Amino acid sequence: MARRRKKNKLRVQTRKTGIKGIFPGTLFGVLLALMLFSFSYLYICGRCDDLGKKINQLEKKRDELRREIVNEEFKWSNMTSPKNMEALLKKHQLNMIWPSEDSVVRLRRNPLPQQFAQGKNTGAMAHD
Amino acid sequence: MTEKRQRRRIILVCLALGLAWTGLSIRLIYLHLGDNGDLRDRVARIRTVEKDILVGRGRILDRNGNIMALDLALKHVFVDPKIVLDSGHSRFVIRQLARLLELDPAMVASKVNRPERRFEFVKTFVHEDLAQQIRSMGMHGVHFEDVSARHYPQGMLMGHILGFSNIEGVGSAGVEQRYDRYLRGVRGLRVTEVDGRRREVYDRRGIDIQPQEGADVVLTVDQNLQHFVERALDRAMTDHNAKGAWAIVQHVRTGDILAMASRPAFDLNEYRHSREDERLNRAIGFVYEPGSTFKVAVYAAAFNEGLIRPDQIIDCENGRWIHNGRPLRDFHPYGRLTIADALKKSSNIAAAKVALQLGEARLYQYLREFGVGRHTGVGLPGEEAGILNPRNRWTSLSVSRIAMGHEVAVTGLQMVNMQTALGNGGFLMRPRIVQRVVNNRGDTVMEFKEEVLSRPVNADAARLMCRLLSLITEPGGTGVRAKIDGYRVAGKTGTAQKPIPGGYSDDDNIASFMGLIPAEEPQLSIIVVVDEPQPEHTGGRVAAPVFKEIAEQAVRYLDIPPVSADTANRFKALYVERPM
Repeated sequence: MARRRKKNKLRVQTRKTGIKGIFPGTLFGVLLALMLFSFSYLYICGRCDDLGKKINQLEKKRDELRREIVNEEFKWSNMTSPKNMEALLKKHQLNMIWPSEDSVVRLRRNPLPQQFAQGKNTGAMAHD
Repeated sequence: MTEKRQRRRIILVCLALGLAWTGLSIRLIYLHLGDNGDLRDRVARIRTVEKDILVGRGRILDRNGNIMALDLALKHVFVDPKIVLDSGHSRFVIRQLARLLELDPAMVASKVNRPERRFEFVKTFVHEDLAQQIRSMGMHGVHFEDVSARHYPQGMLMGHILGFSNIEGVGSAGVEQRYDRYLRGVRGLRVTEVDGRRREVYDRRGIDIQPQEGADVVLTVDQNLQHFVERALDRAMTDHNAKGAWAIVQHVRTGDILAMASRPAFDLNEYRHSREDERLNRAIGFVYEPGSTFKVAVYAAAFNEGLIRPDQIIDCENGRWIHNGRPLRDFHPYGRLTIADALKKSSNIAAAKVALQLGEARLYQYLREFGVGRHTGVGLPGEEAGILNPRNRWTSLSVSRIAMGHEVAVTGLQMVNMQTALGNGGFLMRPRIVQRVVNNRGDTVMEFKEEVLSRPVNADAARLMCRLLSLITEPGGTGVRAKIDGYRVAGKTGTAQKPIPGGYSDDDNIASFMGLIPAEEPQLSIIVVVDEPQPEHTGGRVAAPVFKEIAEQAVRYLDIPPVSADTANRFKALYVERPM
């Protein structure tokens, strides 16, 4: 019995030594590194692919937005065109005329702040 | 035995699989490493896509940034008749397309009811909003194609200035043609690869030359002022059964064209259906004998030379004067008038005598200085230079005839520019219609500065002319219908018979009025010309009221106040009318 156990132990040891011989640690390390490299490569590839798709989508979106801007500009310029304004005034039965010259009050800018500004400048120049 | 057979089968299967794998591996290795350039090229050809990146033309804007021309993203609507018919909703599709696209249902039906076809255009150049409406209905077999088309939101407004670009996107008239180089932009190029679904693989993008969008052209023209002018011309065309009419509003100090209109006109979006005479910008492309408006140049020259004084008496020969054996007539007969009155009454005889006093050489020189017979360089295609014959081709009558605006041909722009010089202290400016060209990043690519072309007369002569011309719109003058309440207008009427083979027409005239407002410190220079008005035909009756309509609105719109009492008094003091 004891002899048999000793034999089995010896066989296990032998097998262990054999594995070590066939699959050394260095090779394992290299394979692991290769595997990591491959995975990183695949990950980066996938990421690039994703980003590429995203850029494509954004480019399409940009073009679409440009088109929208142009369309909105078109609508705005149509709305504000003198012809449309006249049509709207007519539609709402608004009769608009220019005020006569004597009905116009022109508001001029108060000269006071400018005077202050001038004074300040003069002072600064005097100091120089 | 059974166990043996089973093992053999396993071995055979393994062998078959092994062979298959080996074959595939060999094929794979061959495809990758072998000499099969043809195959590789074929794949590359299928996957590689080379496409031009088209750019829109730049916009054309008025002086306040209002869009006058732009490239609009539109859609072509087309159907796949087979899909529509197979869906079983063809009647619904026909009805809805006809309703939304404002088409005849029978016409839409004729396009849809063609089961053998897979593609039929229903309507081209449809606006995005409408396309969206159709899309939202989810009709099977209805598709859209993106297109871009030049569009002019204001239709006819400013038509002759803007011009148009043709179906290939090349500017073919007006600003579109002259600034085509800037408006067009530069198309880009992209060479890239696509996947099995024809989607671009971004990281395989090889050549990627970005396009340069077309630049925007900013005009000096104001769309509202242009609208006033065009409305006034339309009215004049109707009221006077005219063959044509044109008008220009110019800013005096800078020479900027604030409005320029010509009638008949055309819708820019439908330029293909327009006639040639509708496309002619008469303001720059139609030369005519200006008639009495031309006297302005003659008198200004004589004042500048110090040959005449406003209060000097001149004999108008009771309306008929024989010069070099040929009679010269006035519309109304006058006896002795002051120079100021002779101008106010527009006497042909007085103008001829002043021109004779000036002499051939000086008259010719002054007219050249005023820009007669030369392109103004406004920057629009189709500008005519007018006609001023060289002196060696003048006859003994030429001086007296040129003085009253005959034997010389001008454009409306030349005349208004001549008048602008008088309002601008004698400086003749280059008329400017484009302010600048701006690229899509907002940088100014090209800017047009104010430019003095010449100075035909000095400031005193110019100012005196303004004063004398202001008398023309006062009672007794030929241009009273151009007077505007609250403002003094300096102007000149002109009525010229149209030349016909062998002489002048008795029925066909060109009526014109040009004026400066306010006369004391001119800010706007306006000309109105009406071609063949009927039955009234004089500048004072036909063109002056149109001038008044335009000028009245222009001063309100641009908020040009009347001058102060002081300035007005100083101006009046330049010449005080005395009863003869």
